[in-house]
Order: sequence, then structure tokens, then C-alpha cells
Amino acid sequence: MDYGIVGLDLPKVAALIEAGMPTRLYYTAYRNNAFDTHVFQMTFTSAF
Amino acid sequence: MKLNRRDILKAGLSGLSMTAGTALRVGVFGRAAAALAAEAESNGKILVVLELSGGNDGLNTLVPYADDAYYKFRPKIGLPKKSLRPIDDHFGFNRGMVGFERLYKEGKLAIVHGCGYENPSFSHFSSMAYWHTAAPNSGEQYGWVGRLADTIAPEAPPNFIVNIDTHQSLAVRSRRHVPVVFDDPNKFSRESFFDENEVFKATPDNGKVSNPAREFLLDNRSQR
Repeated sequence: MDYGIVGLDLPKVAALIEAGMPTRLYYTAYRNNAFDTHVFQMTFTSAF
Repeated sequence: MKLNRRDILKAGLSGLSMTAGTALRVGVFGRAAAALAAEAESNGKILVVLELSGGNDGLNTLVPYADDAYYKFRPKIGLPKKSLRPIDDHFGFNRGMVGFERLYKEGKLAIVHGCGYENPSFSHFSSMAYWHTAAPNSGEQYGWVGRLADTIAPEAPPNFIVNIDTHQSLAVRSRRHVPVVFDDPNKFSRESFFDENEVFKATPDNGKVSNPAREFLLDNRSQR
């Protein structure tokens, strides 16, 4: 099942820091609003 | 004046005058902000924000398993204690949150319970705007990260804020700064107005163009 979860962008942040960017504030987010616990809710609960 | 992470986050709130009828102590924040600017200039620290964006069920993320009301009002989707990763005698992480549990036990994760405000909006759009501005019902047009940047670097040096996403978040919208927003570095291309073309043509390429989209644009430019 495709939950729309793609890789986080933190490696890009790490690469920019490593490259010496003068950036002091980095902001990134889960793509496609994918931080979601509802998708497992019923199946997970019913397992117990 | 020694400043910690709490002071940094407070500075993100500076610039607000009123919210929900409650006056924030701008004077206190203002003094903190002035000291913060000097501190931030010298300490070289970097803040990385990862927004856990989604339709997340907070009560089933960190479960108040010792609270009878939780099971009373969640007779079917309440998670039993035995399925959790307890962190104390009241709360337990969702079973899938092994990484969060490790960070918490290492002292690298803090939890703020019950975030909210009075008379919450039922609009997802308004609620996200409030989240990104940290200023409910205020009409605030700048994001909390943007205001933080305005506070600690009012001279607005370039590339101070980077927002990696498919679109710019309201959180980084700033009065003084222009955030660098990108999704995929391979999608970078040079754009210009007609009057600027001659100037950009005079700029030597670095010979490392590996982006097919940019090569296509450069090829088109040379054929004009």
C-alpha cells in the first residue's frame, strides 16, 4: 500500500551544513502530510 | 546573558503585540532578542526544524494509559498498556515509536502536552496557519521561524533561512529575509527577465552543468 511516504529531506540539510552554507535556520517537513498514525489504527488495535 | 533553546524559541514570538486578547510581554522579549542577536552571532549554532506534518493522532502517539478517561472515550481505538512503550507511570509511546523512545531515554527529546488555544478553529487551513505563525487569531502574516530570523539577524544576510520542500512554508515567511526554498537541487535553473539576459550571458558557466533541464534552457538560449 502506498502511504505517500517519501524520504525525508534531512540528508539535504546535512549536506548543506557540511558544505559550509551560512544558513542558521533550516525548515523541512514530512512530505504529503505523511506523519499519520491513523493508517494503522484499526488493524493495530485489533491485534491486541 | 546566557541564552538557551527556550530563549531562542521565545524570540520567534517577538514582534507580536496582541493575541487572543492577551498582551505578550514584548519588552521582555525585546531585551532577550537584543542579547540573543549577539549570542547567536557568536555561538554559530544552527536550528533544524522538522515538521511532522500529517493527520496524526496525538493521544495514540503518546498514550495516557493511566487515565481512565482515555479508555472510556476510546473503547475501540484505545491502545492497551501492554502494547505500549511506557516512559513513566502515566504515558507510553505508540509501539512503532522506537526511535522516539530511544531519544527520550537519552534525554534528547522533550514533550509538550496539550498544545492548543482557546476556542480552536475547526478549519485545517486556519489551524495550520496558526501553527506556522504561532499566533492564533492574530492575523500575523509572518511565520515564527521568519520572525526568529528577523530578530537574530535583522541585517538579513543572504541564505540565512533554507526551507526544503515543494513550496514555501508560512513558518519561514519573514519581513526582512528571503528564504531559499527548494525541493530537488537538480531542478535549479537560472531565470532572468529580458533586460537581464545580457548580464547573465556574460557570466561564465562553471562547466559543471549536470541538470538536464538547465542544459535544455542553456541550449535554447544559445540558439536564439
